[in-house]
Amino acid sequence: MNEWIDFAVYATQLIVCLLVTSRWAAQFKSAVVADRNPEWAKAHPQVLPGLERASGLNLLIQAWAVFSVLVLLVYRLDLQPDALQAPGVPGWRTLLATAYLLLSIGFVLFGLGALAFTRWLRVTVPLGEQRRASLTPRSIEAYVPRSMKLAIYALLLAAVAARPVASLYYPDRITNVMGAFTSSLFMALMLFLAVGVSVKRRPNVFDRVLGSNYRKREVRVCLALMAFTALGWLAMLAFEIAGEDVSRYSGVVFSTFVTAMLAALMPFPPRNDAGAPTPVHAA
Amino acid sequence: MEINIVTSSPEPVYEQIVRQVQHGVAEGELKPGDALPTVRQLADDLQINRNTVARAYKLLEDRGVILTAGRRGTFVRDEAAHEVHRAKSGQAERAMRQTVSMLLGEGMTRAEVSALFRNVLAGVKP
Repeated sequence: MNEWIDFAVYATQLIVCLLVTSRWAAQFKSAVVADRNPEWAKAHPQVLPGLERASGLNLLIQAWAVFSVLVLLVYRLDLQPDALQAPGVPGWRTLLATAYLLLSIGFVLFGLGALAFTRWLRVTVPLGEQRRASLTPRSIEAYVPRSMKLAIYALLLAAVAARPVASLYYPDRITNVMGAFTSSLFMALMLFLAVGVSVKRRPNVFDRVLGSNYRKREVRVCLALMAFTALGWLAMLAFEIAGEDVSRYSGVVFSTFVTAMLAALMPFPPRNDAGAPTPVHAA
Repeated sequence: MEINIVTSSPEPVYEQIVRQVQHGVAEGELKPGDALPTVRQLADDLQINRNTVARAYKLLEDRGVILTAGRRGTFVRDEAAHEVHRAKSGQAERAMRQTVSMLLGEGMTRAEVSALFRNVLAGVKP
């Protein structure tokens, strides 16, 4: 496989996860304010346009995304300084490791931006006096068939257990059993948590602005990620038993999938009435 | 069905919840067997204390409107509409008794009170 493919996949992931997401999320700031307190939003119209503009951290995240792609390009063209050379390490592995390091830093910046905005919101905008909530209980069965949910859960648990079980039959081919088992168990718990949170979380601005189908999409994306991760683990285990090293392909496929799933959550532009005092809690 | 609350209202929030659930039952928006959200979900969505929702649910349960079936959840009771009607009638009767007692205490005769009620009733549009 040409290393330009690795570069294209990781560069796209950086652009979508950092640049596109931060620009997309910034459009919802005034809607978030209107959700928290419609009366306050109406009384302070001068604040909202300022929120729409990118903040310093937002611009930094976007700049970081562009910088990250340029760094990847430098590595792909083998123009990095001698101090950053890694002799003996294949180019695709360098691209993979560099992309995820840059992405992690970008996510930290993203988190700081979200934290700063949330803090500003809590300090500046008091909670609205009028609130609404649906009297319909939320459960995962409202978004996916029960059989599908159980099948995906079972698949994930099977994928977590597969490695220790396979190591009993192929002790010479499967290495790092406990380490991989622990990390896969941790990731499985995170995925279960993500599904649970997407179902139970309080309706937010995205539900109001993007419609009630947004939560359904969110839950399904989480479950798809769960199924895909489980299948990925099983496939990698099968290749490992067969004596093949597929870490390069799995890295590329995983990044493509994450990028696609994230893009699937951002299909709708926010409506122009984002500042209108329509309560969010009905979604 | 949705619950709307106003935290600055003189009516306590738990009473606003009780009133709206009872109204939903009376109007048929909430039917027997319908599940209600958990205390946690409703409190989180309304951004109020969980004890407030728990108090509202307890009151609704005491009035026979809802039934908490352990971990299965909270449901509208089969006889909820009847119970809501009975509660409303009881409330109205108490209010009328209070008014009648006050009028009689102020020297009006029973016939006068009765005539007064008939007149008021005739003047009120349905």
